[in-house]
Amino acid sequence: MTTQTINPAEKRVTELAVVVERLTSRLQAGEPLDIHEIVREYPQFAEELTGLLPAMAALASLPGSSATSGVRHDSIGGLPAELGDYRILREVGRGGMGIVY
Amino acid sequence: MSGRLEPDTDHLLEAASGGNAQARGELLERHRARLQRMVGIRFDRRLAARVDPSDVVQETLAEASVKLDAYLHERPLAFYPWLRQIAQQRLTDLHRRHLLAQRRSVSREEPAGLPSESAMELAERLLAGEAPSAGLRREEQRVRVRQALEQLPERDRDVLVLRYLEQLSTAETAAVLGSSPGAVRVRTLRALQRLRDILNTRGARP
Repeated sequence: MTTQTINPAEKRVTELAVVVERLTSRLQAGEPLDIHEIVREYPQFAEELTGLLPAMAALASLPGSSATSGVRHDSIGGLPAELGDYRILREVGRGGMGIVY
Repeated sequence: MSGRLEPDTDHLLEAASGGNAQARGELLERHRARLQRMVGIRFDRRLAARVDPSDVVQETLAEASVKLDAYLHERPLAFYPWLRQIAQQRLTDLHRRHLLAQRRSVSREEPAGLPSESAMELAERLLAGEAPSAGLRREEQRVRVRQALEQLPERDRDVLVLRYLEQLSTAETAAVLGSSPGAVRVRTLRALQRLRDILNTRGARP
């Protein structure tokens, strides 16, 4: 540990950032997080975490496994099954100018 | 767990440097799923009729294979961030080529910067969990979150997409952004705070 002087507010931000990182890892590992438990775990950040956790949980809530990654790949030729308001049913044809869906 | 032990990336890099062809192949192949995810997130859906995202991944791996020797020699950054950089460049080129060519047909409502697919994807994620305000209808939520994201400074959006959508580690995110892990942590926190603030003020919920 170096003894560089940083002000308490800055130190607090750094610590909170580390906690957020830790919780993000847990979320991404699929661990369900209980807000009450977390507040007990990190009482010094109770208020901040209560504000941030819903957004973090939602962000991390899609399955992290590669099979369901990014776009839904239950798809045709690697395309997402849905594009905006459209659902892709099948590939119609493929030619020099592109692919028709 | 009784299966064969999977050598980690470092070991594969070692073996690949020694000219082991199988290690080279495996090194690239094991990152395919992550690349697929990244391309899926970054891929502009306006390109979907013309380009197959899987092809982008395939071409990235092919290009990486050609460049692998030079990479192994210099190792300017960690392996996955390097691979990702190639994919990013291919996507940038693709977007430029296709979307500039058809600029007139592109909706003006599409936000600049992050492809709309990314914003959508992030919104999906926000909605998939315990939505911050359960009272709102899903569709309204979707629009709200999307707008909130578009309001975020690019800096904030970038780091959230890397960390939460691409699921890069702090260290990998730092490599991609040319930053330090400490800075990435704080930047992620700030971005989350701003996202939360935008959602809270815009919502004005009962």
